[in-house]
Amino acid sequence: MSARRALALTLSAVVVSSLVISCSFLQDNKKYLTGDNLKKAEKVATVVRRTFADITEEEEYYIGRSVSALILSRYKVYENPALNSYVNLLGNAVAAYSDRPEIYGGYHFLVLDTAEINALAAPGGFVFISRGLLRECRDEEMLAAVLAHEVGHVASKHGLQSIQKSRLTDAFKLLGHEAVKAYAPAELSKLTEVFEGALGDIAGSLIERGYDRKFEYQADSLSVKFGLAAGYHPQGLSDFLSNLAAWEGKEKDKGWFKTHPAPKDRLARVEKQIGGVKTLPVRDSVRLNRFKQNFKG
Amino acid sequence: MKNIKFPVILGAALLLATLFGAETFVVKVRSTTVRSGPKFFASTVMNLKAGDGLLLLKREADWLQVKTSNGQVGWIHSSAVEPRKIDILAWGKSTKNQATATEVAMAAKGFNKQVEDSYKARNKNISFVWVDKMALLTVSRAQLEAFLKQGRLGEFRGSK
Repeated sequence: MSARRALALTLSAVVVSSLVISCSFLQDNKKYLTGDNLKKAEKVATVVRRTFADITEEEEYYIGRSVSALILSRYKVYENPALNSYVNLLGNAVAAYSDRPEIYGGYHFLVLDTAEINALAAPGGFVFISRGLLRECRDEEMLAAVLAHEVGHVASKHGLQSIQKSRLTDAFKLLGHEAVKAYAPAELSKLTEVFEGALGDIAGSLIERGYDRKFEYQADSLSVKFGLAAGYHPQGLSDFLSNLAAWEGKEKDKGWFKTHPAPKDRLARVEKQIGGVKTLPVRDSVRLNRFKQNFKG
Repeated sequence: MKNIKFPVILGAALLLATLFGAETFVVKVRSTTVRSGPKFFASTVMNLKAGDGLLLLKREADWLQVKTSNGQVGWIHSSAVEPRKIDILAWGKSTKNQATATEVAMAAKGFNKQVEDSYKARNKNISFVWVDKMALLTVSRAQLEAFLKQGRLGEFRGSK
């Protein structure tokens, strides 16, 4: 083979590989096409969106709003502006040092008026925390740890992962049609049914069934990570879990006890993780003081 | 030599396009800020909204140094953007003519306000009043900075 022929063959191979790469972009990312190109692309690529990871930020936001509405149909809001403001500052502080500080509509936190020990994170950054849980926190490190656990669920999109696969396939099939400015009534009706189903999947996991245990352990691990990055002592999480362990027998079928793994199992993992941290932050009294100030009365 | 001209030109063009495509990002959150340094409390260079395009200059951990469409250079957190990938069918058009999932969703495709309104109409017993109020519970960058400084947290650790 002459050198020229070898070069031509090599370059042809480059061209073919480039085409293969570009076509595989088409297969996996038809979502990146414009309305103009979408029709053409449908002829050559059949795959649109497949998994929860293909749900856009804006879609996640709208799913989260409706999941929040479902949560708020079960629980009353604790209307205390000063406390809600403090919880929002603290929640946003840990979110800023999380793996997902930027989210479509920002993070929002709200206190629920219930004695049940519970915290819930809807997709899109809507986080709820009960008065019962707040009562179990003795300082800012403990509350920061709980909020960071919830931010961990949001950052890892655990809520979206609760949506049944078949439901996502149906949704993506409906959404895979050519871009339109508004849905036709029949299409909107079908899409709303799928949307309702997805909300049911998520709310069921959040309120009734709980997530897979591995998601809870992951959220604990992220709580330690985000808390440390923000400057909080991770002992806050183990202190909180120790408090929970004391309640376990009495509250077995309620709130966090119904939807989360046993506190002692979580505690063992968290303490192991903290044991591996080389430099721990100072548990500053300035934070304890402002915590007490915000929980007066 | 004639035999290799076509593959050379096409191959090089496709490779360049693929490379350029991987370097372009689009804002995927409703609004965000380009900062003067790779940290949250660095000063603001400019504000951006969903769909705005950016060119990647370099990466530093979770931060990207980018150039905006009006030529300003600054830093943005990677969670605020998604890569805009190459579209062979839009070949020959500028990257502005291509769209990411976010851009397609913005053109009224996906679970959006129209779907939420339809859901509300079918579920009149589900109230969104507190959801709307909750969405208004926001923390400004100045408030967050003051909170972190007071608590000696984040990048203000150890400060008095």
